[in-house]
Amino acid sequence: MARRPDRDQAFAAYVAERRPQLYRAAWLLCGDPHRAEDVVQAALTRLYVAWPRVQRADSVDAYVRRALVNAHVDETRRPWRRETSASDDLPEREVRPPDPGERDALWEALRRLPPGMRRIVVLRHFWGLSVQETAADLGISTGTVKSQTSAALGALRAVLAEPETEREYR
Amino acid sequence: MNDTLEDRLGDRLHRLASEVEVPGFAPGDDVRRGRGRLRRNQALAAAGSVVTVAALAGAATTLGGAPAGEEQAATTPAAEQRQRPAAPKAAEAPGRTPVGTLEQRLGEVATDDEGSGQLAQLQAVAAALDDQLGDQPWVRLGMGAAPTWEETGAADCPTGWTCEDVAVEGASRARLATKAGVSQVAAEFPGQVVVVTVTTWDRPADHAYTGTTGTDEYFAIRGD
Repeated sequence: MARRPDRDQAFAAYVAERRPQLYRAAWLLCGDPHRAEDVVQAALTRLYVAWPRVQRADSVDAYVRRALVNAHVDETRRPWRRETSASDDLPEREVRPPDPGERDALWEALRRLPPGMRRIVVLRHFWGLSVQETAADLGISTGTVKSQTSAALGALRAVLAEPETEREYR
Repeated sequence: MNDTLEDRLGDRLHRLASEVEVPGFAPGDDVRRGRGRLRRNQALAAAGSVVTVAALAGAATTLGGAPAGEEQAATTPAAEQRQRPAAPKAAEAPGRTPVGTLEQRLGEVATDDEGSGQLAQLQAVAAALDDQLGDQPWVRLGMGAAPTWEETGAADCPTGWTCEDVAVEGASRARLATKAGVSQVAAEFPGQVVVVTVTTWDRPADHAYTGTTGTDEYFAIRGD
């Protein structure tokens, strides 16, 4: 078992390198900066506990990705956690969403997807996982991944095809 | 646009995400939170062990459940035989000091059942318990299996238990439940869900997760 200082040092180095990307993925999943921060914190906490094994197995990225998705599942299943587990460590600085002038309608379309479909879209298209990898991460069948991906893409196309005014006033 | 959405979605998501302003962070804060969780997990797992370990000294016999022979006679179908967890070789001799992690201990007391691969599953669960809870004075080990996740009860977290998702190698999902000296992991492998229970004292009064086979059998894994 790794000695605690070694573990802390290696873990901190990993966090320093990967946290921004994890936050961005969480932001896509949650659509809310505070919930994204909660989800990232939960995932990294789990990662710390499991660190010796996942590091030995050279599966840190895969583990934290799964932990992030599971934390998002917990968030969506238990919305009251938002009130009870909000971190005391949230940044005081307001986090800006992407510039509305630059972002396309994708964000709005993504936001309208059910959480489960959003997870599949993020895993498949943001993280670039295969159908099989996505199914394994989410604990669902490959058939479900395929059908949900198809449904999600259909929903995205439908929203992206809407005139901008209709999108804004939904 | 429809034809290219799928092809370009990855790029568009990355562009969208890259516009998000990432809040400042200190890795030390994540280290601190991780340490806190690890301490809590270890404290929960160790609770209740102090008083009862001495009382269990020398108790190396299997507690509860039907004797192996009787159970085998009652459940002869081959399908049920396959569902049975890996069988312990033998109860340990008293006076032996526990050595190594739970994963190592399990390797010493269990054998694979006709090459079913269940021992590897149990060892993967044991490795996850080691990682989650660290070295613990485990006294009893229970093993069970169920056909589905729902049948184990892992979809819920009973009152009084602390539950969290854990990573188990080879499992599509796994959940750890902990309460006062009792820790259970339900891990979903292809074809079955394995339930492993370890205690730092006697056989647990209740379970968060149960298998449809094997759950009532407890084996001594410490004989000091």
